[in-house]
This record gives sequence, C-alpha cells and structure tokens, in this order.
Amino acid sequence: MAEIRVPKLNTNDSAYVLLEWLVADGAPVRGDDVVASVETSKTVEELVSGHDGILVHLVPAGADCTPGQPIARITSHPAPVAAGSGEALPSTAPLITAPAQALIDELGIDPARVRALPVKVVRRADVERLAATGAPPPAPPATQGLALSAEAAVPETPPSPLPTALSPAVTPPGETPPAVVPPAAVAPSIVPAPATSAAVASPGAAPDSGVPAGESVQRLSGNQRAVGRTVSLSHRTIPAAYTAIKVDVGKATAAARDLTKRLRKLVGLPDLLIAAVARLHQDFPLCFATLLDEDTAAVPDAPDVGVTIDLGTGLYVPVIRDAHDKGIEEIAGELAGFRRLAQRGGFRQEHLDGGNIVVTLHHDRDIVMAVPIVFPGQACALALTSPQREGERTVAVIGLAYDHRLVNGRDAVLFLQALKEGLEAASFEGL
Amino acid sequence: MTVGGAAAGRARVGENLNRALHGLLEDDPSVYVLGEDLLDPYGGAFKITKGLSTRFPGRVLTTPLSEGAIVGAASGLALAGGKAVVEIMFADFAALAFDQILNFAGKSVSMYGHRVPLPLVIRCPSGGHRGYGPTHSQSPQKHFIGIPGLSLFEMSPFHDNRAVLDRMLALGEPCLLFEDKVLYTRRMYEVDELFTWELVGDVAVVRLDTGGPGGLEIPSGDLDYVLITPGGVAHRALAAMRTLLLDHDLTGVLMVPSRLYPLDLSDLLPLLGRAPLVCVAEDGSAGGTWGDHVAADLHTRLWGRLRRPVRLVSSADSVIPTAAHLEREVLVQDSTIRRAVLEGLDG
Repeated sequence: MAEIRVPKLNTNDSAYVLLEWLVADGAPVRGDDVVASVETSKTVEELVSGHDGILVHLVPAGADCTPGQPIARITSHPAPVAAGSGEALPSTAPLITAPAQALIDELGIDPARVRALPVKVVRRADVERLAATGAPPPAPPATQGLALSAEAAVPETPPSPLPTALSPAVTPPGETPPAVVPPAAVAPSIVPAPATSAAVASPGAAPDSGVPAGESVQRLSGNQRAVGRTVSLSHRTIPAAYTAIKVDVGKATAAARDLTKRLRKLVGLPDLLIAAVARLHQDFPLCFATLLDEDTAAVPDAPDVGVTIDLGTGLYVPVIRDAHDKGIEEIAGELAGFRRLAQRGGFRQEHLDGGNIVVTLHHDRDIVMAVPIVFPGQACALALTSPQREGERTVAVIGLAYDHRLVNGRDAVLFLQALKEGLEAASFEGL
Repeated sequence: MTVGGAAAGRARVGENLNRALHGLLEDDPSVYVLGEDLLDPYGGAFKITKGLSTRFPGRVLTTPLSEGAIVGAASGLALAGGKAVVEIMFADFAALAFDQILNFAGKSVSMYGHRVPLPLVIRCPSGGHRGYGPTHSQSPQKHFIGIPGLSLFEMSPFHDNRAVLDRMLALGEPCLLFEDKVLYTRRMYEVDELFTWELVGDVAVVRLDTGGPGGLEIPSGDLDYVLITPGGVAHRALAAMRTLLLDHDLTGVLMVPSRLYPLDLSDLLPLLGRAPLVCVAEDGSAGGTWGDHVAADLHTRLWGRLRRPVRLVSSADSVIPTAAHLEREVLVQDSTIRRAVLEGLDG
C-alpha cells in the first residue's frame, strides 16, 4: 500500500486547497495518472499517483491540505472503505486547562464528572463549582483523606526536584534527547539513574521543596539535559588534555573565497578544516579511535567527522561520513544542509550517529580559545576560532582536546602541526 | 450588531477581496483600479486583481513603476468625479507616495474653501513572516497616523472586504487599506473552535464560546484581559488566547477594528473599563506606534477605571531581517502576546 502526500509546492503557503479529485474514490489508477489538483496561493498544480492500484481518498475535494499531508492511499485490493471513515466523530469530551487539571488531581475528582460538564473548556472555576456540589468525591487519595495539614502530604513529593529534573529517564514527548550523544557507545545505562524519576511526573508539585526563596525552578529542555548528561559523562570518564596551535589561514580563506565563487556555493574555513582533519586519518589513526578497555582501542576504517551546530534551537553534532573521500564542494554542501536542518529541527538519528572525531566551530568575532569536550567513545575534539589579524597575516587558533589514554601530548602536537601544514599549504586545488 | 460564524462562508481572505473588487467595478462604473503589473494573466503580485482587467478593460489600468505618479493620477481622477482604487505592490513603497498622500490627496478634501470629495482607496499589502526582507515586509501604518483627512483601515478575517471598500469610498476622503499578506490565504470568518465572534459596529469582538448569549455582557470570570489588534495580528492573538486559556486558565476578549484611524472605541469603553488588563498588539516597529495612540486615548477616557497601564506589543525597534529565524525574533509572535499578557497581569 502506498500513500499520496502533498508536496511543498510554494514556500509561502502553509496550506493549499485540494481543488478536485480527477480520479474517483475506489477507481483503479496507474503510476503516471494525474489524480488531483491542488491550488496554492499562486497556481494550480496537478498531483500524480506514483503507484498502480486502487485509489482511496482520504480528504474530500474542497478541503484544506498541508504540505506533507497524506491525501490518498493506493491499495492493491479493492477493499470496501466506508465513506468518511477517516473522519472520526468529534469527541465530546471538553478540553481541560492546565490549572483546572491540577485542581482535579489535587481534589481527586472523578474524571467522568469532569467530562460530563456541558462546556467546551473546563476551567478552574468549573472544577471548584463541581467540587462544591453535593456529589460525593469518589475515593479521594489516602493522604488527601486525612486532610490534617499540608505537611501530611510532603513525604509523597520528592525531597528535591532539582536532581530528578536531570534524570535521563524523563523525556517529554516530542523531544529527542539522544541528539547530541553521537557515539552508540554512550548507552543510557552508563548514567546512574536517580531512582525517583516517576516523581517528576507532576511538575506542579515543585514549589514546597528545596528551592530557596527568591529563586524559581526552571525545567531544562530535553536537548539541554542530553547535553548535560554527555558533558558529565565526558568529564567523569575521560582524562582530557588540551593543546592549541596558531595557524596562518590567509591562503585558506582566500582559497575558500575562490571556491565560493567557482562553485557558486558558500565555502568556508570550517569546510577546509574538516577536509584537512579527514586527511590525517591515515597517519593518526588513534586520534579517531574508540577506547574499548584499558588495553585495546577500536580503530575505524574511515574518518567520520562530527561538526557542532548550534543555531539557538539546541546543540547538534551531525556527522560528515567518509570525509576523506569527499571534495570540499560535497562537504560544504552537506554542512549547509545540516545548518538548514538545525534551523528547522529536522535531524534524524542517522545524521547524528557514528562520528569518530568532532570539530567544534567558534566563528564569533574575537573568540581566541575554546576547549571542546571529548565525546565519550571518541579520542579527540577540535575547536576552530574566528580568524583574526596579526600584523601582516591572518591567523586562527585550532585547539585539540584529547583523551590522554589514547593520545599523548607529543601525538597531539604532531597532529596539530600536520593540520597546520595542510591548511597553510592550502593545496585545495584538486578538491 | 451582526452575528457572524461558520455559516457565513469559507472563502479565503484574498478571494473575498478579489470578489469585492469585481463586485465594486461591476456595480459602479465610476470606479477605476490602478497599479503596477495588475493586468491579466499576471493579475498583481498577490493575484488580488486577478481577472479584473479582462472583465473591465479601460477601467483597470497598469501603470509605470512610480508610486507617486500612481497616487497622484488616482487622486486627480477622484477629484474629477471618478472613484479610484490604487494597488501599491508592497506597503513599504507607500512611502514613495507620501507627498501625494499628505500634501495632495489629504489636503484636497478641505483646502479649497468648501468640501471636495476625493474617493480614493490605496491598498497596501503589508507585514512580514514571509522572508521578504527589510524593504518588503514592513507594517508602516504608524507613519500615516494623524494626517488630516486621511483614514487608515486594515483588512481582517472578520470584515467583508466589499463592505469595507464601499465604506471607504463613501467617506469621500483618501483611505489607506493595509492588507497583511499572511491573511490572503487564510479563511474568512473562521476562529478556533473554542471561540465565537460578532461585530460590534466596526469592531470584531472575539471571545470564549460559552454557549451563552452574545453581546458585550461578558461575565467578570471570563474577562482577565482585552487584546486590541489590527486584522493582520488577529490569528496570532487567537493562538495566544488559546494558550492563555489552556495553560493559565485566563480568558480574554479580542477586539479587531476595521478602521484603525480615526479609531472609535466608544461602544466598547464599558467593557474595556472593566478589563483587568488591556493590551494592544501590532506589527509595526516599536516607537511612535498606533498602539501608543490607542493607549493614550484609553488612558484619557478611562482614567480612574483602568486597573493597569495599557500594555503595548509591537515588533522590535529594528529593520526586518530576511533570514526566517532572525525575522521571527523581530516580528510579533503569538508567544510575544502571551508573554505580554502574563507579565501585564503580574505587574
């Protein structure tokens, strides 16, 4: 069975009109048949079936549809489809405001009584009225039944909400906590999980526990909690060291400018750095390795270079795979694609998995040094700062943080010198 | 007082305006439409004038690229007994016609010793949220406030465009009609299922649908705030109202006037005077705004009854960036309005 989805036809519209069905519901279609017309704010476009089979409408003619929405199914068997089966009867249950829900929970009011209220939205005042009416509140929770003092309920709430808020077990739906944890080696089991994660289920219960007066509790985003877990794990488990080198990037930035003109695609120092790092994989395999135990390391066949991107929507580390086989143009293209995804939040796990070294970018003006964390499961992380004038030349600082169990200071210096040589030679002609 | 609702139809706002222009030209042979690139098959940058030139050749005039000349010619046409509707391609370019609007059209109504009618509508597709950048995304309403003899209107999903056009032309004075571009593809007369709306004179009043009787007798339990916004901000205001209700149990009323200047809120003063908070939200950049003007008016007329200063929401004091994520930071979002109401009620 296949689906026909509405493509993005016009970037300015968030909705189109399904103008008409050109093939009737339940009729057979061929792959190249035009089945429907869709109107955007500018044009009418025709949609093609794309598959052979029986067309089943999911959306009536005249309805609004959004880009990506399935409007029809194509089945191989003519199945009887009840008319309008896609549209469930509108639920009669009212919406409940968050404060009202909190009061319902607090008072232990029977949800059935709330659902029976003749309103579209149940508000706190409705719940208060409901609670005041004669009907016996069914089976209030035990602690509420005592109704002696607020203190009686305290043992039921977590002693301090702050540590539990960082618990890896709590992930609000719709967020993707593993986004910043690139290597598969970082299993959640490594992180000691606080036992009382279930207690976080009601954030409304926070006020009377452990927060000093004049301060308030701010819940961290799922992404930030994932960052926190990775950083903590890195600092706890990796004996990191750091070395930085000054690189004359005059030729490299000029080369990037030329490439930008020639390829009609934005090429920058980061793209050149990624390429240069990838080319060192042969000579410095341990810089790309994963420590397995005290005695052994897994050395990868190819450099898969992760790049940090943070456009304010969260920190992501997408990976440029087999970077040694890729030209600058291809790397620049992939990186541009990642930036677009970072902006719109469209990363999939496959973009983020499997990096074996990481390049972090700090292009803001006048940043002179940044110490990146080494991701658990990796050996090295590089940081590139913004180019700055130094007398006649333009320099940037490239820092290398490394797991001292795999890489020694001398290796780090050799690695950085090789990198410097590669960038200063600016032999990007063939790329 | 007219009752609106879902039964009133589901045309898109842009279609409603296009039909309004068709109807206007059909019913009144003295009406002319002028603008750049509005001949078929192109039909104008936003297709609002689609089909007009085919049906009414000779009365739909495509013009050179000169906003000053277009508005000047249209004003002359209106002075000479015709009625003129001008399409400025983007509201930003209305600035190029400022001299004609301020010094010619506005003054011609009254400076000849007796009143001279000048039925002229200047349509201005305005607003951002489309990535068109600093020179094609502004909401320049504030620059035209307070000009003697000039009225400002704004398109809204609640006001039938034909009725608005008729009203403007009947004024016999030059009028600007601001049309937020994001409205063109939205449906007329539709609100979130939680809300209901009705017209009180010129102003669309949207409020929580309690199934109770209409009118302005809104119980105090359902009046935590009042939002006043031009039509283009209405959907963002509704989104904010939904969140304020579901997350914070706060209910409010949204008022969307059709005529922004001069603004008459007399019928609504009793309701505004009872509101714990009045918040005016608009898309123009901060400083010297329409909202400032409304707030000053309300402070004067409701002095002693207002519980708090009128809260103002506008775009940042900034040009409008092209990049979507930067544009979002500068322009008013539903979250901006929600935050303003929460902060306003806290303060």
